[in-house]
Amino acid sequence: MGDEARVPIASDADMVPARAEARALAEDLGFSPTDATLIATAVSEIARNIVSHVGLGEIVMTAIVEPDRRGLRVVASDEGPGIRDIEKALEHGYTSRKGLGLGLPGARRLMDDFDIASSSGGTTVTMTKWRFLDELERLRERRNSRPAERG
Amino acid sequence: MTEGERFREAYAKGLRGYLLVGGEGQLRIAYELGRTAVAEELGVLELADAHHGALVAAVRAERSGDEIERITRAAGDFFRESLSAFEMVQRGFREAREGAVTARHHAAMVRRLSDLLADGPLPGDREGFTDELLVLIAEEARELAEALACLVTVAGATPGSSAAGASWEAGDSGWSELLAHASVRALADLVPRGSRALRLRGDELTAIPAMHALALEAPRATAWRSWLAAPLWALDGCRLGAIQLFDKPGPGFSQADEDVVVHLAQMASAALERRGWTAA
Repeated sequence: MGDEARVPIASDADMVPARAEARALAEDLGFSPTDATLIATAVSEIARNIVSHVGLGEIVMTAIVEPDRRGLRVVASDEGPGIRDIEKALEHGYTSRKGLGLGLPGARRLMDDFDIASSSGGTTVTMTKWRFLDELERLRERRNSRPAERG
Repeated sequence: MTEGERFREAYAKGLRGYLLVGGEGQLRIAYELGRTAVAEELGVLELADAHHGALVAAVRAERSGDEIERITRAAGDFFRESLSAFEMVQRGFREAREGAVTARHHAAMVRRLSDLLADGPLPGDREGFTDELLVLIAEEARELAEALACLVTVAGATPGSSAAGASWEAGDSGWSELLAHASVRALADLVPRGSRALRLRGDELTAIPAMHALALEAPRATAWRSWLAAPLWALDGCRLGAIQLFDKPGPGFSQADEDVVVHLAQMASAALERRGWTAA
């Protein structure tokens, strides 16, 4: 499994490879089709945000493997003028699209962790979706991590 | 042609494209269709209707059971993608509704506290007032943050003038004993001086040395999934006491929980100071 994917964002068309990479990583990590759709949608929203407000940026997606959970971290960065009021940008209803809560607030609600760092030199959005291993998976993990026994 | 008819036509075209070509490019069209439906304020029933009509058209000429199954499964993927924008809106609606409920609850709590302050006893009768206030704060904090238990402690300037109020979920008598542990009360000291609050996940809390002794005395404390504390600061910067919240099901205490508890701590501090309470 490739654990990192990097997609430059310069136009709406770049949303397709970004979504495809997100979905492929999500499937590799065992996320359900529904969660893979939610991740692809969140990635689309932040890609759209880059194209609409800055024009150029990059999305890096990383698989996270921990003992009891798997995660897909998405980091979207641009070198635009930054977001003046982050709290307001994340409020429900504060968007240019009729205040329906799409865009950044929508992406935040689809993911588990969400953080924005913004300054006059650019903006970085970091968001992660987690999947906790079930009991059977944890058992398999433990079995696979044991050193091979000599017969 | 009405907006709804135009949408149904676009949806049918998108689904035909996905069934022919497949791939992420076509799924992106489904996502865009869902976004358009949301932006044009079409309902989820209209989207379902568009999907059903397009699916019926796609399978009408098919005779092979395998092909019908393939089409139906692929159409399900396309439909799921188109629904994702509605999911975003639904989650936003839920969040706004929860925010409104919390705000109403918060306002009611502020009114109750204000009434208590207005009707409260004079400084000379401080003890009864303080106990009542601390229990009320503990109940409100626990309820607002959906914690399993809450402990509010204050330490006065004179010996024996400390007080505490606690609240825990009904039927769990174990909390009474647990919250009486000196090391549980001392956890409030983890909040750095000058900080408004400290919020930790269960794993972060159990890694703290102060928790090791507590884990020996009360193993149950190691199962807390989250912990939140907000000190009660006097105007001169002295610490009057603290509100501690223990264990919250789900992802743990949120920023909104922290804000509410900090507000409660500020109100409690003001109430205590107005009644002549001075820090230890």
